[in-house]
Amino acid sequence: MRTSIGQYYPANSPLHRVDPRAKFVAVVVLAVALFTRDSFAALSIYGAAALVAFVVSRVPPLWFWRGLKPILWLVVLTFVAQALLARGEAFYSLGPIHLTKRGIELATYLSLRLVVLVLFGSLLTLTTSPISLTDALAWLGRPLRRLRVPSDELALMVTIALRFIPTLLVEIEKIMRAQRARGAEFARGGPLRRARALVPVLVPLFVVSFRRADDLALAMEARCYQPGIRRTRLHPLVARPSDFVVLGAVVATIVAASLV
Amino acid sequence: MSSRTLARAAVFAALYAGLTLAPGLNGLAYGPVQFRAAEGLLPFACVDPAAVLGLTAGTAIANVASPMGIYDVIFGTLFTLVAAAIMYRTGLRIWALAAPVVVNGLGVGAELWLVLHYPLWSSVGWVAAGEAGVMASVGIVVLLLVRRYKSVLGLTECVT
Repeated sequence: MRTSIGQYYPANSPLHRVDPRAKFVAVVVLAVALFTRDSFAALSIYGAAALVAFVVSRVPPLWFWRGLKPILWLVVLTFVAQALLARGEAFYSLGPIHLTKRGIELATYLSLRLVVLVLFGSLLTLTTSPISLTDALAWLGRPLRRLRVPSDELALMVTIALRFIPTLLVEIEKIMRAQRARGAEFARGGPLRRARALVPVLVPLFVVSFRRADDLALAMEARCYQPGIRRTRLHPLVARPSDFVVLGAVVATIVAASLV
Repeated sequence: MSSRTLARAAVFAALYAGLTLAPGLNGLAYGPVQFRAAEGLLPFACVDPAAVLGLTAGTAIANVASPMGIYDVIFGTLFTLVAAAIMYRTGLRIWALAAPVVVNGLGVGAELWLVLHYPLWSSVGWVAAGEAGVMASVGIVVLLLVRRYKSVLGLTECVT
């Protein structure tokens, strides 16, 4: 069973080498800025910035397509919903369906904005490994420690979770096969029957998962892991001039988009 | 936070993210009409504080793949935290299952309204209906399992 969490594409492009903290901040700022101005001109500036970043990232277009494919239905749904719901003078009517110029414009704008938003997110996840992203979040969350938020522990939790996901998916598949061999049927009957059919999968899954968690906790303690104590890193995050170039480019994009 | 709580929370996060991102289940995990089977794990939050943390972290991981991007990572995660915290306060009661329906229905519905300009109340209705569907099927099964197998699952010895 395969999942694509963040769909990291390992490469050595200039964008891959940028500090994950800078990339995360850049994407958050761009995602927020994308919603501050509703105009096709501003959207085209953001779209162009995303395309330039794609070229720099050296990620094959097929990988971006893989990221976009699962959300195409949402883009289509957004387009159809906006095209049909907008008010105004209809240029085409078919029974209760009225298409307006404003509706088509709004539908096109919102669908394209959704695509640009997904492209920004893909740029971050395709060029940053989940572990680097977690390190970046732990660093950015440091000020929260003053509010007694255990940011380092939360980052470690996410790192362990990312490591566990493929293991648990294999476990689910193994349990389902074992139960099928004993006559269990998961795809028959109504929703209630299907939900009840999950019981022979869920109980062993939870037992196995929690046993793994207990083993892991024991292994951590045996290696002198102490919660609440600041940990050192094998690869500490170091900001470089290129990171500030990226942040500067983000500011320039936002300024350009607000001027057009 | 003890090592055990941390490890259990990590496993909850992995279960949530794995069940959301698993091929076959990820198709309906995002958007206005969503059926996120992993939300059925929320009854664990009624008894285990590690589940409150873990399911919140799991939502953050799963929402990285959301079409609403960073907005869903931040706000979607916050809604799960609020729903899980309410469930922890209510304990193992059937009506605890209403918390994610109300919180996610209103929260995610408002998010869809703000980000994708969907009509507010129909978004709230659709999201709440999907969440209610998960709670009425997987959620109730997990709640009954947690009640019945609490000691087998080690949920009576939780240490924070």
